[in-house]
Amino acid sequence: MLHIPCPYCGPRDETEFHYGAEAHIAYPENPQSLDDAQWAKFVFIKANPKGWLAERWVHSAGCRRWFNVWRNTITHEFGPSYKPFTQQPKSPV
Amino acid sequence: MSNANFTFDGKKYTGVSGESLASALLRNGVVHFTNSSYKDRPRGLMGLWVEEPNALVNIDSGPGEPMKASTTIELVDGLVVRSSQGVGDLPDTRDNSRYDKVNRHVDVLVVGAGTAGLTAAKKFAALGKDVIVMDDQPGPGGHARHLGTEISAELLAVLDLANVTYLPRTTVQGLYDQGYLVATERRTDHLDAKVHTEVSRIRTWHIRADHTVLATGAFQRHLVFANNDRPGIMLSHSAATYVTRGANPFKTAVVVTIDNQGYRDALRLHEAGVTVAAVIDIRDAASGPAIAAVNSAGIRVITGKTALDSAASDSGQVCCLTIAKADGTQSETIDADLVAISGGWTPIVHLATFIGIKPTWDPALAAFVVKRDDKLTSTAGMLAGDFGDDNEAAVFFGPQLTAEQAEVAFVDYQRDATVRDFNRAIGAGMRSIEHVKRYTSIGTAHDQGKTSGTTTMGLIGQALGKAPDEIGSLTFRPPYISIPFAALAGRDRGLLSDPIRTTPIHAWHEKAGAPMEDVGQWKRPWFFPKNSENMHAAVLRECAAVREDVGVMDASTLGKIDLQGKDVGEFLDLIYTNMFSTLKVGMSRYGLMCGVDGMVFDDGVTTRISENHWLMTTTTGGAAKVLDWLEEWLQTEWTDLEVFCTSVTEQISTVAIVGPKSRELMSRLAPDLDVSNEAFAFMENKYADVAGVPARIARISFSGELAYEINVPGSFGLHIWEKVMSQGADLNITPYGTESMHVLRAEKGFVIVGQETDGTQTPQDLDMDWIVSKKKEDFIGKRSFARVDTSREGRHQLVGILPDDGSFVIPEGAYLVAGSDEKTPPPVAHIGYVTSSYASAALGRSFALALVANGLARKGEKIAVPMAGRVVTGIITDSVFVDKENARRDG
Amino acid sequence: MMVNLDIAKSPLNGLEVGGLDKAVLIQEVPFTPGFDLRVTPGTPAFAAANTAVGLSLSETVGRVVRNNADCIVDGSSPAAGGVSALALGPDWWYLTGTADIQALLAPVADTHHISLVDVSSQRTKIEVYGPSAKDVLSHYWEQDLREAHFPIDSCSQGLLAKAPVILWHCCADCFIIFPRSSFAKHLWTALSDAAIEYL
Repeated sequence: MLHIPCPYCGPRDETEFHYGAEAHIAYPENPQSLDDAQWAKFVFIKANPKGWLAERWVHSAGCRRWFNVWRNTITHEFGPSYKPFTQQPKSPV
Repeated sequence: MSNANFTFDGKKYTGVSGESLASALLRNGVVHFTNSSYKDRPRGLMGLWVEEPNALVNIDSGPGEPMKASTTIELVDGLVVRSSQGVGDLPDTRDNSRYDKVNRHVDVLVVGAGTAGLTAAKKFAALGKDVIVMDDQPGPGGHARHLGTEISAELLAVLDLANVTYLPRTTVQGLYDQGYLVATERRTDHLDAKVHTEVSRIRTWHIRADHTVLATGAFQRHLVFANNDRPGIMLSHSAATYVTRGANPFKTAVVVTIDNQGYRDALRLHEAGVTVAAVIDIRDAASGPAIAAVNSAGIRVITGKTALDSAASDSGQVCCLTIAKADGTQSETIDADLVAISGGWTPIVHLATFIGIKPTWDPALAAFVVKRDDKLTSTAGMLAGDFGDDNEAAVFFGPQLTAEQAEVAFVDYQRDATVRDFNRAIGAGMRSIEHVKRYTSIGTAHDQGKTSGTTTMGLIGQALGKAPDEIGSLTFRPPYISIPFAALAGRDRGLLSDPIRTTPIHAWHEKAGAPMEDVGQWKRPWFFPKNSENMHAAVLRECAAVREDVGVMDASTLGKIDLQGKDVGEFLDLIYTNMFSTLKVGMSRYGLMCGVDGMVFDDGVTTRISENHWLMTTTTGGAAKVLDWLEEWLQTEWTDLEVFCTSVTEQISTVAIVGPKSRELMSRLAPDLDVSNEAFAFMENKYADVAGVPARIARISFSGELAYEINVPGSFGLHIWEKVMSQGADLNITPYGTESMHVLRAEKGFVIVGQETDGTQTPQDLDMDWIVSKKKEDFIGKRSFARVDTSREGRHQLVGILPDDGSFVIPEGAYLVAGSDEKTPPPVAHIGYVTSSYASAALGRSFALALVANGLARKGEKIAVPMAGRVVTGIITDSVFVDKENARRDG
Repeated sequence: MMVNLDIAKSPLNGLEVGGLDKAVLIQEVPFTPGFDLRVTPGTPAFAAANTAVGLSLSETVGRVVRNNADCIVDGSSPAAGGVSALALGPDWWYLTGTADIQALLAPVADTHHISLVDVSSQRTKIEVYGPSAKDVLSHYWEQDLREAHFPIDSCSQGLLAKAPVILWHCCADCFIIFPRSSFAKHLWTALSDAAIEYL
């Protein structure tokens, strides 16, 4: 079971969290002005790299905060977690 | 030491309490334990511990357990076992033993209480760390214990330190990412042969360790030669240990070795009184203290040879051993009733491979070892290749065999897999251990390759002229040893397997005899049977009471979220498809939420309590999901909106009184409240004292009938319900459950998110375009309604279905095909499926809701429902069946 | 709100198991007032809320500040007028105690962006006390309970026997659980079952 570092509460078991897919995909400024392809890219297309990915999680059973965290999709290692709208730490290598 | 009486295969024996069952049987002269599972060959004890492949038993006493290695069973008085010929059988009776789970965080977890583990524990304890030492054996000492070597008292003292916890009989079953371990502790099997209900039989430990030391030790390997499976052929380490402890049915031994361990064991056998006829060493020359000691004891040593074949006496036990050079030449035969094999050490790499570590081959030790020392994990002792100073070894797994010999030369005893099977795999071109394993089934039985894994890789290497690590790598998966599922379930059994959520009124429902329906984790009354009514009769009665008199329903399970702040209206306009910012204080509005993909996500009624204070309701199952959703947008997108969300699902208990006589009942419950339609309109909220409790009353209807929802703090929910029942007695007040609620709402064509929807329906698909605002610039999902796929022709749309046979209720989920032509040959394309289907008291017939391709344009068309053995026909209708004019809601 | 206790029911009707003289005592403390406070630190609203409550609310999630005696160890009749504030999130506190919390904060709510919600029925209160209190909890609680990581006056939300709770280490050998009311019976089944080995 993953131990996910909540930036507010510290590392907690995976069961306390829900997953929010790739981080840093902002809701478009004006969705109606996007064509179908642009809109579909926002709605459906998420990165799924082999290796480090900045993801969103929400600490549902804890502080209820959404946050971002680097996770390695191969080794399951966690890198630094960080609050939304804060400087993104560099990808661990 | 006390004696213990036990029964093996129906025969009574006496052994020493606490010794292993295997040891006790050997002490009683039982050498032939059982026969092999596939080839029915006589088999005896091989090993010392969990590596044992042959001597498996089914335990019939106490809680019982199938297929347990007799080497791991501590003898207790009254133990009853049967030998297991490869296949176990579960006891017929329920196991009432207590099983348990504990969570623990620790600085350092040491796996193994042998010399290496204790040394590591001592080091970390001295650094002030919290240490847990887990060991699967009954006492500390590891190999040294078996060798009869005393572990120094100074080293053992580490287990008594305040910051060290020692857990014997505790097997680490799994090691996972980030220092997570699962272990099982056997707590009662060694005490007696009884079922324990107050102390857990097995406790499962879930550990998070900052650092894990793997000091798991090693198993001894066998060698692969013809007839290497006869009773009396044992691993030398185990034979010497049993014999040293007095379990000695043997007279003459031959020791066959590839390393110096064989010499140490020969000496131990010799000292215990067994005549050691010879030590057979494949090496041409070997040196070391053990060899010197054997020489000085006058034991004959034959070098450059190994075991080739064996023969058995009438009892099946080995009687003599043929030895030869590795190529099978220059054979000679030696009489012996014990053949002790030292085929090299196999470090227990299981836990290391669980976390993806690949063991490396050390040719000097003839072993796969794991040398690791990082932040999370380190290895020590034999696992790390520390075999001591006197452990030279040859890389050798077995001699050249003829085709005949190969058929009876066993690689995996449990699978009866031989060199012949193995050769066929190699002959078929397989080179990887993974392929050979699957082709031959080697390593797939009860022991999961504990004895055969390295041997198989060695043999492949020997056949191909490669080193074992060029063949692949050993990969094991949890659990380390087989364990009862009950142990893994731990405390998650019966009532504790999943939380049950109940409302404050639940006790009343139970007392009324209502069967419960599971709605997520909630238990909701399904229907309230009167006398011996079945569900069908109860639901017709309940629905009729609601449409004609007054019913009462416990709606407390609805999710509720308190929203406060000046921007709640603006926020709700973005969340819901319809407009909320214009809602007047004191009013409620039904709303639909979509995901960004435009698909319906949840629904519910939201009330404006005051200018900046709102109360949202969600579906019963959607409460947590919606709260996460609201927080997501507030925290990650629209952070400038002043909105705070608070879950109040259990704070508010909701009792809904529903039906034409609900106005009369409401006026009795709240005499000070003007309940007239003029003073208290549909979708309005009023505050009043109800039976001594301040309440918010909302005129909301999920049935189409005149209805009042009485909302009070949860502690008063039961009180209000009881008052409703007593005040409504002469009005035919009728409690109803979820089934009637479903029928009543379906008669009105109201959807249930999760029943009419599965995450692929837009509001338009549900014929709810009326709830999609055309005025709002944006809301979540809006842009997706214009996507090609969501706006295309042919989408499944919500319609009603009336079966031609009004007494037949179409099963929910049934597929629909067009027309009623029963002669159309299959396959017939389906045009949709039934989402809800009931018998209606109001309609006097059955009806259904369905999602049908282009359904809204097909009203009036015939459909057919192919059922097993028959075809039911019907017609597509509007989805509203009762009170299309909404005349009933005002009473 | 003053409750008429003749007609109110708590989720567990004041159940208890074990005893003060045993390794563990587990008991429901019915009708304990509780409020969810949401306010953003660093704002005038936060300062006003602190002043109104008479505490300096912890901005570190998981810490409790209080001027209250709240559990069996401190005395079962808490000092009048006390408040304990459990920091559940960076802008979220659970307030409990005998003070009239609603009255204290109502003026702030009128003028500032805060949210104060009475959740006295949303949760009930269960005390787990005794030398084995921590052992009983560790059967179901996956978070670190070691004193160094969860010292006195720590609090945390999480899953206890899969039920969402607030757990508060209020003093030596004493833990307070605020479970969601709908889960209270399930939690009672779980805790009383785990207690068997210690009684």
